[in-house]
Amino acid sequence: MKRRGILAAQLALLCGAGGLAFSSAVYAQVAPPVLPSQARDLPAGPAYHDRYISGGSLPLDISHADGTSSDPQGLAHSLELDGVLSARSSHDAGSGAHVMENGFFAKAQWETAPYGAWSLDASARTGGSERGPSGQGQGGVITLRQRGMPFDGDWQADNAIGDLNSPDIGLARIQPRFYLPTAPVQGLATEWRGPTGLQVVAGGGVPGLYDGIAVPNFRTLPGSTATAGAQWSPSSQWSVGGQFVEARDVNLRIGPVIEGNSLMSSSTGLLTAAWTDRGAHLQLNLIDGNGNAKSNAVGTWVDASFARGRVLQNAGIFRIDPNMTWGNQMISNDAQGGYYRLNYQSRQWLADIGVDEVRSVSGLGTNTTFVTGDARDQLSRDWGVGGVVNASHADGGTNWSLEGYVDHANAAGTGRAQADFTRTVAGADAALTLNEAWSTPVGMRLSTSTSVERISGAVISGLPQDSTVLSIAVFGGGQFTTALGVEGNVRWAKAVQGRAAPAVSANVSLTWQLSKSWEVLATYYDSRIGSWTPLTVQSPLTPPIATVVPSIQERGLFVTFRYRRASGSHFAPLGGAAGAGSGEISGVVFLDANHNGHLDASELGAPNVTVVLDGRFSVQTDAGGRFNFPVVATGHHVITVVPDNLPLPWGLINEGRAECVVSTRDRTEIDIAAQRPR
Amino acid sequence: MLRVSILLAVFGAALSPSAYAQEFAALVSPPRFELVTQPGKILRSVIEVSNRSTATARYLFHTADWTFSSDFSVNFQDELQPGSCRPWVAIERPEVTVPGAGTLRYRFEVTVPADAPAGECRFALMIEGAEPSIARGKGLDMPVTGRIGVIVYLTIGTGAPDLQVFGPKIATLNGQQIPTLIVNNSGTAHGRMSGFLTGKDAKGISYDFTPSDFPILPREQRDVFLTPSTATDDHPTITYPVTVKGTLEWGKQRTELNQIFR
Repeated sequence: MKRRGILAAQLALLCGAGGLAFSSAVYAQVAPPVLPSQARDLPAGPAYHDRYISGGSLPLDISHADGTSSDPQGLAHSLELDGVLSARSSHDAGSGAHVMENGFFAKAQWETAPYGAWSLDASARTGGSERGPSGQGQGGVITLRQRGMPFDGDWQADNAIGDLNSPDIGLARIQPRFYLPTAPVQGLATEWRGPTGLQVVAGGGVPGLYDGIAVPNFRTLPGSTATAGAQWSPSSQWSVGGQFVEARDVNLRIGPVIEGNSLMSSSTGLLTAAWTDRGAHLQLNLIDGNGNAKSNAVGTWVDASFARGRVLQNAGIFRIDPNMTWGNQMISNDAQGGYYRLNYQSRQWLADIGVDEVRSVSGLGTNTTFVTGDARDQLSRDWGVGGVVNASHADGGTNWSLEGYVDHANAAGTGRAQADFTRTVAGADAALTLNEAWSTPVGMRLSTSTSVERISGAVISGLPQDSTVLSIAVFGGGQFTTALGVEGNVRWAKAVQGRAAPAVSANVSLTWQLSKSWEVLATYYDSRIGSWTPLTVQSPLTPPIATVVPSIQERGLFVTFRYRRASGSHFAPLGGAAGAGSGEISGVVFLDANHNGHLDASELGAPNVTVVLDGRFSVQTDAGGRFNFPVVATGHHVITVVPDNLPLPWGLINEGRAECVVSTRDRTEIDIAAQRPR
Repeated sequence: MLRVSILLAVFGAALSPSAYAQEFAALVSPPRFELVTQPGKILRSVIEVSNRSTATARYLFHTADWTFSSDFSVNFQDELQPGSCRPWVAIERPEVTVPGAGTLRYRFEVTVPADAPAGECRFALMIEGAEPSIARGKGLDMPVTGRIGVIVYLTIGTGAPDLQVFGPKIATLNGQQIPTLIVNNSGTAHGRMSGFLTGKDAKGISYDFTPSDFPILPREQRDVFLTPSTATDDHPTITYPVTVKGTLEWGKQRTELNQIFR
């Protein structure tokens, strides 16, 4: 019997929050199954009759859930159809614009035994803005994907046609410091994976940009791009690869080609080799390219990491010539130097220090020394303290920032008090912030953020913005009935001293389950945010952010009518065989401004980011950054995130990779934090 | 062994496809309640029951008392036990039919008498499949009725745990010799042990130790296992003696530990 209790406790360790059978207290809550004959074997005694609320006459509160069909036949297949109505108005500098966009968005996924998993995403829209990238007229996207098609000899293939991102070989995707972006194209992409780590990728088409307000739209740019690459693992330690990317006559802006503006053409090749053995990883990269008749550009960088116990060390050296491109995308260039990072992590301690030294190759750029330190101590179960220091010395002067915080799990929830001070050559910023994620009943969430901020010196419109700003943000929501869910946030900021513009923004989203297959989703938002200048100290290898954020006065309403149907999924869940058990994975991808790993009220979800389950099944995050895989096979799964739609300079650690074990009837929540490099 | 197999089959850890095809497929949330109220108040809450099968399912609901055995198993009793607070509890209805893939929000409330002493009301909400399912094993078809118990801990007034730590001893857990503390609860509510502990064994190897967080009920004494781990091994084998240092915490209390286990 003791063995059974321990066994159950072990099961508890496998599982995340939400599912009863796999909670941390499962041993105390899962009753042994009762055989009908045994159900009467309980100790004899006077029967107890429960009392019923209102005599048992309360109206039932039952939802029809997620559109799952009662048809259990066949492998998993699903269909989601959205009809979208949207309106948005914006104002700036005395002019206004009113935009309406209507359209449809269809997503279908189906699993086949011989040909892998298939998906079709298609949208059609009309309307849009008469200004800016979302031009008036018709448009949309269409993408057909096939993942995991098996072939003899341990080969699998992924193929896609339509509006997609060009493929990269695996070694190009795991660059820790120099990001090689994939490019949106309208065309083809294929990836083949074989034995001994063999991978072959190819793709190409017409470059473009994703836009649209509520309905995805792909707008092509003049020109063409193509890529091909391969990698191979000749031994368990070594991987080698190469990739070639070409862009021809690409116009980097939407609209007609402006006379005198040259179109972009470039050819770039990457050779890379990696060695991995028992916690050590070394990768050498050589990139060579030329573009627009400019002189040949060469780049090389070496990244090394070494993990031993709780200590992880990363170091690298690099030299990249000016004007280096990767297809039609610019990458970090005109830089040479090195970096070192030391990270220690235990149950109680986390410490991270790093130094970057960057020099301009051409002598025309900036030379920068950047030092960062980050530490956190979980003092006890309920208390944790930490701090961050960043200092950057560049040709123009020295910038530095300090951050200190205290985390406390209290009776009301989990709170953080944080103090920040930043001094840059542009000005200074001091802030005190109180965040609290409040304890709420099941299905509800509430968090608040209050801050007071003193800004001095940073110039807007020729005048220093010496101001003291008080701001309050509230984020909350939940499933109020089984059919009705509401979520929203409100942010309010006001200058209690000085000339900073007040800022008010609010949005509320409603989900109403009309029937088993139909639901309505509505979002209203209203933002009135004045121009401001963020003061941050960041690594010179971080993509720069705009120095002045323009003012926004905008409001919009989005209404989506959704039809959803999934069949066979219960018996063939995503990633599983017919008849396998299933659980659920859901979560949020969010912009973790304070690096605490939690979604605070003042932090935003990352919308339209692709989340991939086991490299095969993908969903996109909604406007709040949330994603959901409702029916997933039990067992071990890997979640990764495609970072292409993350706003710069936000990035993901280790591709946003998260691993989990899903158990039957278990619901696993995974929050994935995108962070700005410190 | 059959009993264990059925337990796994019904609660989803190692399902055979055929067992799952006709099972008691309910997802219940939250996994347990830890609530606080005052004498004279009515506490209302909701439990969500999701039918994860594609077929309509009928569930039976009732309350039960429970005890936590020394072998870490839970025994549920339908009969009213001495000192039970179940007479304070009212549930929504005795049975509900939930369509395939539907979710039920099931309500319950606890009316705490005005003269109730500070302490803890503990009971279980039992959810059972009304029709037996067929668990198919190797050549054996076994009708089983799935049953889930959601435990409710309701702290009343100033009820709180008061834990005293005794020991040390070395216990066997999953075939491993584990440093263990004996913990007594003389308080009026259940407690759970937590804390950050580190130590070194006879070979000089450093470990983190994680206290088991089993509930320790009032007037009960429990073994608290200090499970070791290292940066590279979640199941290391300790060479005794081992010294364990750190802070143990429960509720709002804490105590320092500096103990040799031999």
